[in-house]
Amino acid sequence: MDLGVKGILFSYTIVRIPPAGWPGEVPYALAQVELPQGPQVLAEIIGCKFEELRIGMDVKLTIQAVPHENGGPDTAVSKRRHV
Amino acid sequence: MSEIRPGREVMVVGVGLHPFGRFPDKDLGDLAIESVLPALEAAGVKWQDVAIAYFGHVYYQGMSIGETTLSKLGLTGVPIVNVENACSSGSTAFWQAYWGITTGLYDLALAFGAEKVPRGPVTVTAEDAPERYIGGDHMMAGYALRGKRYIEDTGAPLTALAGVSVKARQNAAMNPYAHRKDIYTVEEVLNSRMVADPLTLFQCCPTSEGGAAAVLCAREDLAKYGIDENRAVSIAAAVLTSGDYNGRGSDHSAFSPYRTEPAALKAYEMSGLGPEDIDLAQVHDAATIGELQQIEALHLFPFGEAWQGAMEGRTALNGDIPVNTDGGLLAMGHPFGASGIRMIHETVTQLRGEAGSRQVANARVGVAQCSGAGDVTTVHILKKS
Repeated sequence: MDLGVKGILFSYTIVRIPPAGWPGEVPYALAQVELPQGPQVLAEIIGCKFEELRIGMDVKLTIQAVPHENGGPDTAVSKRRHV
Repeated sequence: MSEIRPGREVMVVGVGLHPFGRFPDKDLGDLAIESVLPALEAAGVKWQDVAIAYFGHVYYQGMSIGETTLSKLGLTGVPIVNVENACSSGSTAFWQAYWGITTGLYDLALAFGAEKVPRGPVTVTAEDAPERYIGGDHMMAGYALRGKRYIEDTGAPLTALAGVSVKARQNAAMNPYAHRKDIYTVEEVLNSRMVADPLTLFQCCPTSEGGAAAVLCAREDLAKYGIDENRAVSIAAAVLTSGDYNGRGSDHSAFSPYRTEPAALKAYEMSGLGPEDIDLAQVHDAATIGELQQIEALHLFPFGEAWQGAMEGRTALNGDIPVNTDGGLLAMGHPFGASGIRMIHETVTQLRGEAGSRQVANARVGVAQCSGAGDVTTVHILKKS
């Protein structure tokens, strides 16, 4: 689900050794995103190749479920999609 | 908010350390006691002299573990406080001991910390917390975000970050208490396994076990306990802060160097000293980028310029502002509860001129800065008396 909120990629990293309990793919891209109102949030980046990531690029907030079978609590968590 | 109003002058009169590393045959109490006893002995006091004790630790090892541990030295009935403040647990215990004495409540206090740590990347939140599924609950990934942005903003080369780790190992090679003493090169650091770019494994501190302890006493009470005034080191500032929006723009992440700056400014104000007075610094280098940003936040270097100073050797043992002289978190390792007091141990050892081959020349004033997840910062300034 697209939440209609855009932000700027303040920083990012490609995580190759994940923390315990990480339910997604490895490696994954982690973003530090600055929202238009000022605050920053952390989220996984989806829908963008690692090599295309650039500090300062626009991203938008989406939301998706982490299902139980992947170790998740079946609750929705925020993700960032490159626009 | 109230102002900082210290009262009596407080001295560190004894420090002790259990080596940092992995000790499968020892429990948390063993690691703690084996640092407490040398600290008491160094101070020339007995456990029965201690009026209050604070124990820093993070991972759960049973309830009231400080009481259980110290009961091995005898039941004296004094207050014993267990302190959890993430990676700053030990330094928070020290901070509490300082304030207990300066306010006149106690004359002689023990601050100690120890840790038994699981292996693997460190997480902060509870196991079922949503942060786990966002992918951001990963300490080194947090530092990696800082590192990536720092490189973008300053043009620092990867070799500048790697050099921090090389320097840490060189210092640790002269320190029998360090977890990692093997020296490596910039190339070996950069070619080690990638954790989260730009941070390779050798740019991340190992998780370690160990213990550290400090005995504190009011200056006016030194004679009462027969403590040698000449070896006592004065605490010029003791500051603990939490997160604060301080007008430094929008970057208020837990890994922002701007977390440290307000605590540093308070410490300089409390001590009447400034960055120009600091002869050596122990800072929170859980990752290489951490050291560079912390020494900027302490105003030892202008923001964005620490990497150049480091490459010029200014933070090395023979530089003008030696940093993490015992090897820091990167080479000492990081037992959360002990690390903050380990920094005090090294500062005291240097100010006494007892650091042997890694002794900093003419060391008179040292700063110890420790960060913790959840926006904890401690800054302590120690001064040769």
